[in-house]
Amino acid sequence: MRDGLGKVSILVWKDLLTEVRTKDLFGGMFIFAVLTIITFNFAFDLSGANRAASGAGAMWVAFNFAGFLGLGRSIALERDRGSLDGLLLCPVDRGTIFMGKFIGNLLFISLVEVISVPIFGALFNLNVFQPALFLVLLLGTVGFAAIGTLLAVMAASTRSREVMLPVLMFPILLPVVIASVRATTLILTDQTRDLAPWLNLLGAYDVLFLAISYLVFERVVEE
Amino acid sequence: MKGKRGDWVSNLGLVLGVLTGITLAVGLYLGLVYAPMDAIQGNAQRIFYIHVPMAWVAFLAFFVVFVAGVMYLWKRDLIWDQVARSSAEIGLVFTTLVLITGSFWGRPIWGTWWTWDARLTTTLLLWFIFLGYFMLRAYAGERSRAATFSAVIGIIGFFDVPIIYLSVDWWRTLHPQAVISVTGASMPGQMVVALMVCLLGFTLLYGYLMVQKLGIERAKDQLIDYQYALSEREAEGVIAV
Amino acid sequence: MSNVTYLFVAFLITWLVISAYLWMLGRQVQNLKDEVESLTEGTELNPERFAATPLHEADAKAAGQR
Repeated sequence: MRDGLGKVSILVWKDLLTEVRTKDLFGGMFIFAVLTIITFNFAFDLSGANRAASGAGAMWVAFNFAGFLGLGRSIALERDRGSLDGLLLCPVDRGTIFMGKFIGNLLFISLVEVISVPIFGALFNLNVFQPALFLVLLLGTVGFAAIGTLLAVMAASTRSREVMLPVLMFPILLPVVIASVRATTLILTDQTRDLAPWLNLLGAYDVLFLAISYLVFERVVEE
Repeated sequence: MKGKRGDWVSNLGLVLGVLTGITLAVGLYLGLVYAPMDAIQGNAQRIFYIHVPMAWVAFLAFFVVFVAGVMYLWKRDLIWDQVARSSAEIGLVFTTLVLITGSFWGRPIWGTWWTWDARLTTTLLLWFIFLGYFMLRAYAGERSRAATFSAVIGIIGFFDVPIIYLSVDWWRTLHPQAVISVTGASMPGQMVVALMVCLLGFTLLYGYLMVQKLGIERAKDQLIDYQYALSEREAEGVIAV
Repeated sequence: MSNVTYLFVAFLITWLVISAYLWMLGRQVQNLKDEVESLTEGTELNPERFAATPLHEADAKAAGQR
């Protein structure tokens, strides 16, 4: 177990180091997320009492889109550099590779969120510095990254990979989107009483699909 | 295909086909004529007798895709992929019909072609998952990769559909909104009979279509194997094609 | 549109789609048969032509026909 943990952290560290050196992913994702949020401000009427609901929706859409961007590009980069094949040659358990990729993706997207959320709060004049909100962000992002890591590897082996990933992910991710947006809206409008079912749904989704992705990953990379 | 096995299969197909035809004919008579007209919804309610059985078939087909996907990932035998993609195609056809008939039922009853209630939304998402299944197959390239990837989608989708339903249902009910519900009141016996017969008829139709489609998909894979064998022989100079 | 019209159109579409699908399946069967025929033409796999011919004779025959 300790050995596995060590290998996972090495994998994650490799990805982080690569990103710091090349800055390929993070900048693009972050700018994309903020621009999407800004566009939504003009798409919806966000001055009135609906601010929290529409704002929550806008925020999660922005993070999802930025996430697609990041996932797609990170896998494409790995393939182009051949580093995925290199990884597979190492005597590492496939599940460990998955965990490494998953945590790496989780960290990237979380980083984008951490910086975007205060900006979002400022632009929409909403109090975002609530611990419950960070919990929802975490749960939602875990679900996204779990399925996303698996599906990105699959989509990368196909012909029209930029389109394939969102097409596959949107329907599968719907419960996460619904639950995250609802939960965020409740938090931003101080209705945290009704939060529990949504958090449970997110938690269950995360556990289930993390497990499935972990188990299935080996088969997927064999191809 | 020739041989004893082929005869057995085509006999099964014939029997199923005849049974399907008879059951559907009876069921439709029951639904259109025998069953009483709904007091509130009028005759449009009779769409129910094809809409509900087809929804059942769509989900049955999806379940088969899931099981076949698991079996393929486990056993690596192409027969499971043949079963999966046959069932997925039939499932896609029926899901499309469920959505269309649902719209034609909803329009006179609810006054709208569509509403985002849990059942309809889940069916729509199922349609997109089926679509993703085939898109992935089309773009995945070689046979075993297409089979593996689509098996994964089938498995993920199967676990996801109930969660989708739950989340949409909560989204509607935990949030104040006009709730439109389909008639949940107990049905008179005649309606139940008509529904059951139609359910059986459409299930038999699924079985018939599966037999046909599976035969086609098996033949397709065998053909690919033949072509490969022939091209190998050609390369070795044994035959000139 | 009266209620019955909706019923009628829904049924019509359903049976049209199912019939079209059945027809498509029939077409696929036919296409496959044609393809098997064209592929095995001139080889020992074609049962009509080479029912009792051993392999090398069949290949020589096929080569001779070209």
